[in-house]
Amino acid sequence: MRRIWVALFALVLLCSPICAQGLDEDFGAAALEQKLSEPMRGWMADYSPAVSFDLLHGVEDILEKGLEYGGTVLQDGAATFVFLLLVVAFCKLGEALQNTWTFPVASLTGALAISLYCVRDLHSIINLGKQTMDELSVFSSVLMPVMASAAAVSGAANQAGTIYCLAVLFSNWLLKICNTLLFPMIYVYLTLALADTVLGQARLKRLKEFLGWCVKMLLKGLLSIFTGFLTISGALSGTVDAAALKTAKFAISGMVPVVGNIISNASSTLLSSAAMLKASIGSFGVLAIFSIFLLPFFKIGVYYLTAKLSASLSSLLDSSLSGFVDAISSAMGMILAMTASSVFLCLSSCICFLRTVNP
Amino acid sequence: MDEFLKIAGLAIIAGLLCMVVRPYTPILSGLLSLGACTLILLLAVSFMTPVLELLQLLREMTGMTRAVTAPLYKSVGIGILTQISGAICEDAGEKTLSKAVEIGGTILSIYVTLPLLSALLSILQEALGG
Repeated sequence: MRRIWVALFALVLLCSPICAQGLDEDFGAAALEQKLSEPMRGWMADYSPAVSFDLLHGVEDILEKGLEYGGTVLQDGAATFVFLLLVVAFCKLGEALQNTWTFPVASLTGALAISLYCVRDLHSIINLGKQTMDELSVFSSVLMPVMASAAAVSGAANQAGTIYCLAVLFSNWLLKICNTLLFPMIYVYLTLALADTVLGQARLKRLKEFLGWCVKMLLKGLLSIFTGFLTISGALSGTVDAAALKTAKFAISGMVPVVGNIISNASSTLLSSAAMLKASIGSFGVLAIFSIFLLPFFKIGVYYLTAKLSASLSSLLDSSLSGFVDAISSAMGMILAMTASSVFLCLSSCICFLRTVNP
Repeated sequence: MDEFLKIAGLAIIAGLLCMVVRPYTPILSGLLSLGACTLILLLAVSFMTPVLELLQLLREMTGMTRAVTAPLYKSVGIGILTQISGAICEDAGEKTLSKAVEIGGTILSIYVTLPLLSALLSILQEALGG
C-alpha cells in the first residue's frame, strides 16, 4: 500500500513541473518578448519562448519578413553607387584638366562632395551599428539569466554559471570598447582618409592603416579570448556537471531504500522537462538575435559592397578618390565586424547554454 | 560625328591660317586663333544639352542636392576655361600671364569648393552635438 502511495505522489510530482507555463514564469522567460523592440516583437509574434518550434522554419520566416525591406535598401545602395561613380568620373575629368596645377583642387572637390553626400549615411550607419549592439545587449541581459537558470535546473549548474559570467563579462567589454574606442576610431580613420586624399601624398596612409589594423586586432583578440575561455571552462565545468549528475542519481537510487529508483527516475524526468524548456527558450533566443541582426546586417552589408565595388571601378579609372572610397568601404566593414562580434557573443553563449550537459 | 569633323576641319584650317599669317602680322594670328577657339567651343556647347539632361537625371536618381553638384560642375568649368585661356596666353608668348591664369583658376576652384566644406563642417558639428 505504501508503495502505491509513493508511486502516486511521484506521479503528481512528475506531472506538475512539466507544465511549461509554471517554469516559464519562474525563469522569467516571459520578459524576453517584452525586451524586444516594437518591430522585432511584430516579427517574433508567431513564436514564444515557452513553446518549442522548428528553428530552421523560424529562420526562413524571419528572412522572408526581412526581405520585404530589401528593395529600399538595394535602391539606396544603387543610388550611392551611381553617385560615387559620377563624382569619381567628374574628378578624373578635373584632374586631367588640372594636371599642370600645383594644388590638386579636383580631388579636394570630389572628396568633399563624397563626404557631404555620405556623411549622413555614414553617421546613420554608425548609429545603426551602435543601436543594434545596444538592442542585443538589452535582450541578452534578459536572455542570459533565463538560459542560465534553465540550464542550471536541467543539471548544468557549474557550466551555466561559467557561461553566464563569460557572456556578460565579454558582452560588456565589447560594448564598452566599441563605444569608447572603436566607433570614435572610425571617425578618425575617415578623417585621415579625407585628409590623405586632399593632400594627395599618401603620408597619412600608414597611420590610417594602423588604425584599421588596431580595430581589427582588438575585435579578433576579444573574440579569440572569449572563445578560448568558453572552450576551456565549458569543457571542464561540463565534465564536472556530468559527473555530479551521475553520482547524485546513483546515490539517490542506491541510498534511498525502496523508492530510490523511483525518485531517481522522477528527477530524470524533471531534468528532461527543464532541458526541453531550455531548448525552446534557446531557440527563441537564437531567432530573436537573428531577427535583431538581420536588417542592420543587410543595410550595412549593402553599403559596404556598394562602396567596395565603387572603389574597385574607380581604381580602374586611376582616380585619386579610389583610396577614399575604399576607406569608406573599410569603415563599413569595421562597423559590420563590430556588430557581428556582438551577435557572435550572444549566439555562441546561447548555443553553449543549449549544449550544456543534458540528463 | 559630322559635328566633330566640322570642329576638326575648323581647327586645322585656323591652325594653317595662323601659321601663314603669324610671320607678317602676329596680332592677327592671335585674334584668328581666339576666334577659332570661340567657334569650336560654341559648336561643342550645343552638345552639352543631352549631357546636362543625363546629369540632371542622375542627380534625381541619386538624390544629390545642388549644394553637392554645383561645386563639381563649376570646378570642371573653371578647369576648362583656365586650360584654354592659359594655352592662348602661352601661344601669345605670355607665359607669366598663363601661370597667373592657372593660379587664378586654382583659387577660384578652391572658392567654389568652400560651400561644400562649410556644409560638411556644419553637418559634423550637428552630428557631434557641437
